[in-house]
Amino acid sequence: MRRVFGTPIVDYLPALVLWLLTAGYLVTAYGYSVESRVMPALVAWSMLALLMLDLISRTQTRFGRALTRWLNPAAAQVEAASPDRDTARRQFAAVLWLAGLATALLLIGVLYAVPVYVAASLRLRGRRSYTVCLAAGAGMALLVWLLFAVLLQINLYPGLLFGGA
Amino acid sequence: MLHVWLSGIEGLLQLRELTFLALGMAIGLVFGAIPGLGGSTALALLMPLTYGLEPFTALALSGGVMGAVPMGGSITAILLNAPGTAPNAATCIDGYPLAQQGKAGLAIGAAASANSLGGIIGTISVLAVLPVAKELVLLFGPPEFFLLAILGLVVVATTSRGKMLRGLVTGGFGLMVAFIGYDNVSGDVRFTYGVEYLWDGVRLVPALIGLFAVAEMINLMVKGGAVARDAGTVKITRTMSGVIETFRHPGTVLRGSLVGTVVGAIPGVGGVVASFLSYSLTVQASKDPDSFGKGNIEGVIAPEAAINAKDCSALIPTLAFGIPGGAEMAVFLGILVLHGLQPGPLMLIQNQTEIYGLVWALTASCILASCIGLLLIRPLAMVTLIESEVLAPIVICIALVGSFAIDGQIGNVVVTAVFGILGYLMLRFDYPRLTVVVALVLGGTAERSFHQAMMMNNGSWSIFVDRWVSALLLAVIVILLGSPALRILTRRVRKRPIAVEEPQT
Repeated sequence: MRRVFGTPIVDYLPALVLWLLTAGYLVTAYGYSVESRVMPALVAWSMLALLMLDLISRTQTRFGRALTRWLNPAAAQVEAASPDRDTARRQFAAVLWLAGLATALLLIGVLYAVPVYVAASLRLRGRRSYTVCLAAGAGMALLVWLLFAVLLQINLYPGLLFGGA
Repeated sequence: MLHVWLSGIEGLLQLRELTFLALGMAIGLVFGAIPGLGGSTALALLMPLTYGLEPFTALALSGGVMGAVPMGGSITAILLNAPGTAPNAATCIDGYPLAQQGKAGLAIGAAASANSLGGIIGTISVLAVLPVAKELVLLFGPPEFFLLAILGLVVVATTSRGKMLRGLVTGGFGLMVAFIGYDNVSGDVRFTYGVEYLWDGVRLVPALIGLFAVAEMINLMVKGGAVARDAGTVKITRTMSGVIETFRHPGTVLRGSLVGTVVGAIPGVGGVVASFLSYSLTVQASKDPDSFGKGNIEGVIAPEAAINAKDCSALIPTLAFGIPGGAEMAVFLGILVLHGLQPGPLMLIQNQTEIYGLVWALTASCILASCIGLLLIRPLAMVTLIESEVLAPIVICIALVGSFAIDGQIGNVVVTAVFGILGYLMLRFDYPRLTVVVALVLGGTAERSFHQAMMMNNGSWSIFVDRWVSALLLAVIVILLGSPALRILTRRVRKRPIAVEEPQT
């Protein structure tokens, strides 16, 4: 893997992405009135400085190592190594499952998304039998309905496709 | 004074009051244990139902809820790393590693007893402080609130186990998120990029559910297996050991309770600061600070003692000045007004029986809810043995639906999912998540207080050093920020070999 100042490029990514986000935030802040932007701008400028220190502390230079020793001693022991292919695949899958549930809740609503998600997750990830998956899905939907709709009197979201706004 | 205390107890020891106290406790435990709900939701849902009750009965019900919520919250914080309520997030730091080591019973036992002791010490403090409450609250003005918010962030960052820089970075990120939405000072709507949901800002509870419950479930899905790393080591028989552990650390309990009492009495600061401050001070006072975050029982005791003590002392500003200490107290204020009780200095004179009855109800609820928590340890600890393929989808579903249920906004689901992914990335890249929580809680207070302080002093920054309380807070912040450098310098001085004069031959 390509290295910059003795550190794999991937290890700079979190601080670099956050730095760019903060820069964008700062630019947006300067579009507001002076009163509105005082605190956001103050925090964003401080963030840019802190993130620059974080980036430098990740380098294997003398100054970088000294910074790590002073401000992030524990981080030196846990340098984020790039994950192996299998771990990366599982990370991607876990995030995808979550995004899938959030999207399903938005589109088809709570009472359909919950059983579908639970049953699909148990079947595809847990390799459980169809009977167990269907029973768990239905049980979970019943639990959610009893707890939130009956007990707490909350109108469960029907989903954009079924009249939700 | 004694007869007023006794009349409060007498009023509470009626069958109807005790029944409603027990009902409130049961509701509090359930609402506390479900991430996303918590005391404010429970009280808000109960508020219209209390309308037909006598004021004293309504207060017994409310006291039951408020006293039991922290215990319910600590159970899920320890077992699933999913804090039921925001202040319980501090309990996760050491409670969850203990559950992973198969010591869930020990952790819940310690949490339950610390809860009770914290509640008792908090009550004693309230009884002592209530008569002189006015002076204590009036010490804090806008500059002090601003500096207290910054201090909260710095304290948590400096105790982020050797990751102060990253702690400050995530704290700054949390503040940036906290500034999203309608600005009360200027009337501008900031950083919403056209999304109407964001006008009210990023809601704390959905973000918190994402950062902890969902992020931890993603982590579990990636790693596979169960929460308890080794199923064979789950010992549920050590519940009493947890109780004993609490009594073996009286200093931690006392420190946590006092922190909770002081912080609780300051309006707008809230339980999150109390629990994290208590945790941080315990880490700093410990002879073995490196053991925290890896399953140190003191890391469970300290925040739990603070949370319940805070609940008691938060009554001071609410009752004495009508200034709610947090969301839960704000809803409780509504219940008081609904029953014709007008909070303020007059209430301290006219409604003493109700006030002390409420204090006793809160204390009884703290103790009884802890006992119930102890009884439930065995079935609850079994949760840590459930495989991730089964546990993760269930917890994620409840977390997302729970976040929607807070105020019926579907945007909450998106916030929870986004913060869940963000929380996982922070875990993966070794950034502390706790400073984000503290920043989200204190961001609004910090900005509002900053503007008020500047207006008070015609835009001059000298207000932060002119008043002795703010000058003291500023000094503590500077010392904490300089502490890593001081520590290294001290270590170097200690390591330097002492020059020994060689004897002349």
